[in-house]
Amino acid sequence: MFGYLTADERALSPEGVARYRKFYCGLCRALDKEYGSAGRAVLTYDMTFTAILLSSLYALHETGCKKHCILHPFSDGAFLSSPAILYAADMNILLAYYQSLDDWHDDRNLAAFMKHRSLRRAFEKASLRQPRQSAVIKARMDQLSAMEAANVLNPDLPANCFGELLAEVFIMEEDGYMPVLRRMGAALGRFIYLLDARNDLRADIRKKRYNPLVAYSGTDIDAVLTLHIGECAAEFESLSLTRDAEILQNVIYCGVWRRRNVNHG
Amino acid sequence: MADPYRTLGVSPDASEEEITKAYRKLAKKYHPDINPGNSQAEMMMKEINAAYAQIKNPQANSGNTGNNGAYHNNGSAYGASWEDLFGFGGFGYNQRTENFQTDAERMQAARSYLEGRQYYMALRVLAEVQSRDAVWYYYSAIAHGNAGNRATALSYAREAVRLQPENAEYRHVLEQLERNIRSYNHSVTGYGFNLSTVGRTVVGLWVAQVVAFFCCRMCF
Repeated sequence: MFGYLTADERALSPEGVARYRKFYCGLCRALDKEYGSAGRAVLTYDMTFTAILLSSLYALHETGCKKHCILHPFSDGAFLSSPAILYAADMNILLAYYQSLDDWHDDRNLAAFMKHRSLRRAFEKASLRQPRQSAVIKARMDQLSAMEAANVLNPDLPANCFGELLAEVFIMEEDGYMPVLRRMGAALGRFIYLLDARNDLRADIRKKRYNPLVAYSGTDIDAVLTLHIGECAAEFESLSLTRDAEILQNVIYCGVWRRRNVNHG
Repeated sequence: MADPYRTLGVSPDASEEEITKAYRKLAKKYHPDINPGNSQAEMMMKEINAAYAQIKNPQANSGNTGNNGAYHNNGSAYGASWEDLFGFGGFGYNQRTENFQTDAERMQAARSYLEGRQYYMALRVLAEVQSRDAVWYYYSAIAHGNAGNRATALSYAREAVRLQPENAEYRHVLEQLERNIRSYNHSVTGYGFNLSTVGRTVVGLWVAQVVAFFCCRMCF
């Protein structure tokens, strides 16, 4: 599920790259501070995107800082702090926890189990902070599990379910932006779900795992994917964001396509 | 059709789990993606999917022989249609609706449900229609589109237009469904992104191929 909401840095200006990295480093710092090394280990670009989106939308105050980073000793160590980054850290933990649960069910090995265990405390903390999102994520993941067990082969159904999951993640505040963010997040979730399914199709068939595309030979997947990301883009444009628009556009119109197996299916 | 349980290699009182396992075992063997270019495998996969559909949705499948020309190569999954295979709007929508005798009655009911915005009821009735023509695909596209099943809606709308290219209503529904594809592709170009670097060409629009109003197929 992770790794799709990334920017293509080759297409970003130097300023854009610098901003992007400051958010990414800021998220890392927040995860480390709030959730320790277990939190840092699940840092994602996807939640970096979420932080940038919400920070821009709500014109949140950002604090810039510089600290030496052991993992990137030659960088300037510049990073940002903002309420959106803190929020993204909470979301990152919730999602990573359920992802680790999924991986544990799929892989059934010690490494997967240990990873899942290591996130338990962080998950409980994040759940207390964000109860609404935690409840929705759990409910939707349970629904997805049920669909997998029932071998639901209509790709629309699990895609819609995952869309609803991601939609809730995008809603930091239950305010007037909720409907737009909900539609945008849902469309993005459907896109990610289907692209992930398409990327995993061949391996899933071989390993006799669930994949909603096993029986699919309908309208070409690219058209369906474009339909979903197109809906996301339409909602995004309606927000008329200016701050960090370059990064956000880069992700939505270019970056999301990067993680695809060209020799798919 | 041959006994579906036999096709899948399970006993008639097999559990859901056993049926799923059997299906996946067969898919591993016969799926076209694993056997590229093997038309025998593709035929087998069609039969497997049809058998699976029969077991999953017995009412919707009664009487459908699969020889109906509209079944194949129309965006339906390897020989069976969407409703047959997977149910819709949450598994559990395959109980019979009120007893309609003819397809005409069912289609009439579907139309009423669509006009009354009762899309799930429309889908249930449409699932019981035996013979599927352009109008069926048109109604189904609208119902699925409003129920949020976009991939299905798109497939069906394209099929309706394919069957009756001169029908403006069908084209309109398809264009509505595809409008976000069009504007997204225009934006990609507008922002100057080059998607070929990520291995993707801009999606050509199916409508253009049929009605040749304009060519939307752009290659980077």
